[in-house]
Amino acid sequence: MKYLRYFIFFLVVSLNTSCEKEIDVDLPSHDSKLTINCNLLSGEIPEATISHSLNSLDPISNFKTLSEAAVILFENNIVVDTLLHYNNISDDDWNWNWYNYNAGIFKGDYIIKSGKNYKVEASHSNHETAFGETICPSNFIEITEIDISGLKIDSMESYMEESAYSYYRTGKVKFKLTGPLNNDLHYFISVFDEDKEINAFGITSQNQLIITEEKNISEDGSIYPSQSLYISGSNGNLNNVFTINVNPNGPWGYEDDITDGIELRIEAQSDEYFQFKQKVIDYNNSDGNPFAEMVFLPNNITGGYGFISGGAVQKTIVP
Amino acid sequence: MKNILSLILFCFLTSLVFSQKNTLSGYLTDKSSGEKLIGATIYNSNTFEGTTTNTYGFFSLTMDSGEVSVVFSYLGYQSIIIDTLLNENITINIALEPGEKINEVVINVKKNTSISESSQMSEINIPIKQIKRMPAILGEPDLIKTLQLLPGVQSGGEGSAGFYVRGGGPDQNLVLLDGAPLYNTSHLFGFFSTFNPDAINNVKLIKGGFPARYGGRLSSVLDISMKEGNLKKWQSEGSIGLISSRLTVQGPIIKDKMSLIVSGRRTYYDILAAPFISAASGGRSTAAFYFYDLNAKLNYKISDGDRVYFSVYNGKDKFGAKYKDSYDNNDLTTQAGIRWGSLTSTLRWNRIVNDKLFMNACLISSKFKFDIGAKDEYSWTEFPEGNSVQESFEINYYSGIEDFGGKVDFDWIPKSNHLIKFGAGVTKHKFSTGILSLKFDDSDESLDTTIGAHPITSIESYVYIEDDVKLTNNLKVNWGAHISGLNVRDKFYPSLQPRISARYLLKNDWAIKSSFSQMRQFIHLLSNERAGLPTDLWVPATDRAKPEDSWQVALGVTKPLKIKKHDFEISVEAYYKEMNNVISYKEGANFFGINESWEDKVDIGWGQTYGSEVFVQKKLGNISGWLGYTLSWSNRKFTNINQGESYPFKYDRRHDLSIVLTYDLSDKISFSANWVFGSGQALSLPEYQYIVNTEWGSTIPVGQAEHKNSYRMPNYHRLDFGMTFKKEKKWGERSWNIGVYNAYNRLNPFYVYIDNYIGKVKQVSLFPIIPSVSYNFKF
Repeated sequence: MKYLRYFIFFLVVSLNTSCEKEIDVDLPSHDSKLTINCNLLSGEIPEATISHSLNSLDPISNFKTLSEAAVILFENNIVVDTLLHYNNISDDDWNWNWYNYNAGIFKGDYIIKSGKNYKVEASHSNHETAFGETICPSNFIEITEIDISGLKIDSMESYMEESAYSYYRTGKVKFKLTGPLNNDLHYFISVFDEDKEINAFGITSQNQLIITEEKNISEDGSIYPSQSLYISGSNGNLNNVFTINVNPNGPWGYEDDITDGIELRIEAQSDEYFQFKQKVIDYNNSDGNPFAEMVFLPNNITGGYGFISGGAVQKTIVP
Repeated sequence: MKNILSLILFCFLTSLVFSQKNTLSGYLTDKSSGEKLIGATIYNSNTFEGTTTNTYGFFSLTMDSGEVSVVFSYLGYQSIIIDTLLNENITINIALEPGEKINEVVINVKKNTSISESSQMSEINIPIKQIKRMPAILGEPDLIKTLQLLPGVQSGGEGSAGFYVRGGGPDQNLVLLDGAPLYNTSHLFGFFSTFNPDAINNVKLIKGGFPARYGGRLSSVLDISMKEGNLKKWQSEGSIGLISSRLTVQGPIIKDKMSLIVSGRRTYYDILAAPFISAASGGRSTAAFYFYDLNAKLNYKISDGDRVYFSVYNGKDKFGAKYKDSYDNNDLTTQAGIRWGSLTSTLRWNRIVNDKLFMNACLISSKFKFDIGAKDEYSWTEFPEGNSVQESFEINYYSGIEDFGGKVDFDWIPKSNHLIKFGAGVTKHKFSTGILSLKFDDSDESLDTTIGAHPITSIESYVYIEDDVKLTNNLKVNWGAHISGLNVRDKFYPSLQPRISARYLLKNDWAIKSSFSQMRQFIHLLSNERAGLPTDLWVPATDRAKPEDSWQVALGVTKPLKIKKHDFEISVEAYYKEMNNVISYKEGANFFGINESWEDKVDIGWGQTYGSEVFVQKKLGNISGWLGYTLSWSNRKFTNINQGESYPFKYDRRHDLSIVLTYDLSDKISFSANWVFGSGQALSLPEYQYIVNTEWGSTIPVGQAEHKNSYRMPNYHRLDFGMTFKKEKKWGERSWNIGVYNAYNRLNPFYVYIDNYIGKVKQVSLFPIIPSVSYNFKF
């Protein structure tokens, strides 16, 4: 019995021995390169996130803001704008964890146009110049026949105060999307409170959308009607009525600002950008899982890293 | 197609020349238990014509009429010689007595009945006694971990009970337990295999040169036969170990006619830990984490020629926790768990149709189910009304596969130089490819819904014919064809798979062997490339994920060798295999998503694997064991992975070496040891990092590399040893097994990651040095 006690003690100690150690892996040396991330949308001003790469072993606190970087926008190979660093946070935040604060944003004031070729070129004293090119697509589908007759204002008695009521919008807004679909574009439809404070909407399609065999409709990853959805398709015509459920969860949807309009937005995205975004989601989902396969992201920046794409936007405010 | 079948038929008929011959046939069994002996050798000591017992212990040897002297031998049993006058067909059942002492006279006359005789290559039989003597983690003997020590077979990683054969994936192994396919071969997230060694009679692994009777997987066949139960006397054996215990009871219900074996195994870590968990949580928490196996088999001898068997396997894993709390008038119960398990059953009828024809007919069912879920229940009393209110929320995700089918196999031995096997089978598969169920209930509303893919049903069928023919004294060929098809979603996928393997005897017992086999696989396994996880999802081949195909060629030499009275067998093989339509999860995809079909989560690609294997084995004597070495390459290519370029498969392992030794110091004390070495697994590591925008407006750093799997984990090596002390007691026999896993405490890599805080690459290991002890008994 005495020996058995020693044996169990030895077993417990063994199983609790530290099982983590540093190892030497011959990773190649890495020269820092510029990074450009940019989605140019027709009808809007250009905006790009400019940063730099690090060796994978470097701590992420080593990311620095390249506020002095020169960022130039070309339209059909002609310089049309210079993007300037958009200083929206304090120095302390930059030095801490700047990537959470979008500290590398550069903005211009030129209005992007559909059907044009754009090039964003970034240069910085310590880095090789990097650039990426894209074409802004035209938005082929249109929002028509907006019907707000199903929208109403309802009220609910306050829990806190007797005979006090709070008011909220509820009901349905219907709209129709029409136009040709093509293989290269994905349409991202989203609905917001006009001031983008409230997320209390759900979109559903009146009839099942089968636009291609392989890609039809997804509801942005959620089970219930979502406030955004993708239409991805190949050759065919879209002629569908959609319904926005306003405050589908009743008064608990918190959409109680009845003076705001409802913004309905369609963004046409290239297939490359759509795939890139899916990969970023995949990367984020698998990040930290030691058994997940590494997700490789597409890179279309020459001389650096990142992704540049062009899109088109159509917005309608429902009063 | 018609021409090929005509050619096969023509060759069979022309090679069957009639002369004055008679046949000796019957079953070969263990004298003490009546258990069938599989793969035993039977040969005429004058002419060296011979055969082996089939999977059911049946033999049939046709010889020239007259005086014959026939030797029956099997490893670990005393051989016997039967001298008889063979003027008519004779049916005789032979029983061999267990014992290590081999009749020296028999050994001397024995010729070419060993490794060089068979036309089959890339096949290894492992005696179950060997498996039970091997040192094992926590003292639990493990069939799959023993297989991992063979050349051409790799583990899925530290502690894993998954296996990879010749660069193939874990889904490409056909694992048959008494003829029923087993879809999950591991317990405890892959650390232990599902096979209880006390319930197993025989293990056969085929890595290439597949005979036509096997089909449905690309890379290997692991054919496991359960024991049939002692027909002579009641017998019990068992083991009490650190984490589990086993008990097997077997014996005759009707002596020499009907027997039963029941074997069970269960871990009890949950029982040992329960008081500690309860104490730590103030009695509010309970936990259940265990696995169990149950094997049972009923064997009934209807007549000398007819026997029926019914075997069942049921194994389950459960990991769960429950928390219960009460305060004031509120009660809260929350529980979560994960369960998976397999249930297989086989009803088999063996019939000796005549002395040259043997039939095996089976009805088979197999089921695997995985379930993960959580449930919350909350109840309270409303104040001041005093109404009792209850709310509950339950979420469950489950997936699985169910098979039901039948098959019939015939062994026809028209002449001693022909063994013709033919048969057919059909299986209905039902796949549940991921279903989510949600239940919500409170005083105002309730929800009870199921979301996910509908089950998919498919029908798989096949016919085959093969002939193992000795064309000349030196040339033996096994050739045939496996014709199969799958019907799924109103489409039919047919397949013709030719198979051929040949052996040519050279001087001094050297034999040269070669084989070609084409295989087709109608089901896929969505796996995260780490074998053995219950989340792995079996799915059928479809239009978008077409059936997997492979072809493999192998060339090798074998030789039985005698060095200073010690018998060795040496084989060296080289192989090349290509695979089409292999599938892989897309980068970042996982099993749990229900918004997209599994077909959207996979990439379809191509695989290539090649290498060479050396196997030196010593089966007899006080010192036995083997040395296995593999040099191999395994690559994959997918359109959407690694920019469409070929890359090393995760389990591409350049060098793999294992040395296994057992030494019987005396009848009472024996030692065993094994040492393994493997090159590090292929690995992707980020070489640089940069910032990207996310769709929700923020930015994140991402680690990236130029190529997939361009790095290697540190090499893997480990030494295990064990000792067995046996003692005869009045009541039977007892033995103590003492073992040490990872004797020199090598920290082998389980996974590798980058720690950005200190700027280093780190590896996490799982098992340090682990001693074990178990008490075994038999009476």
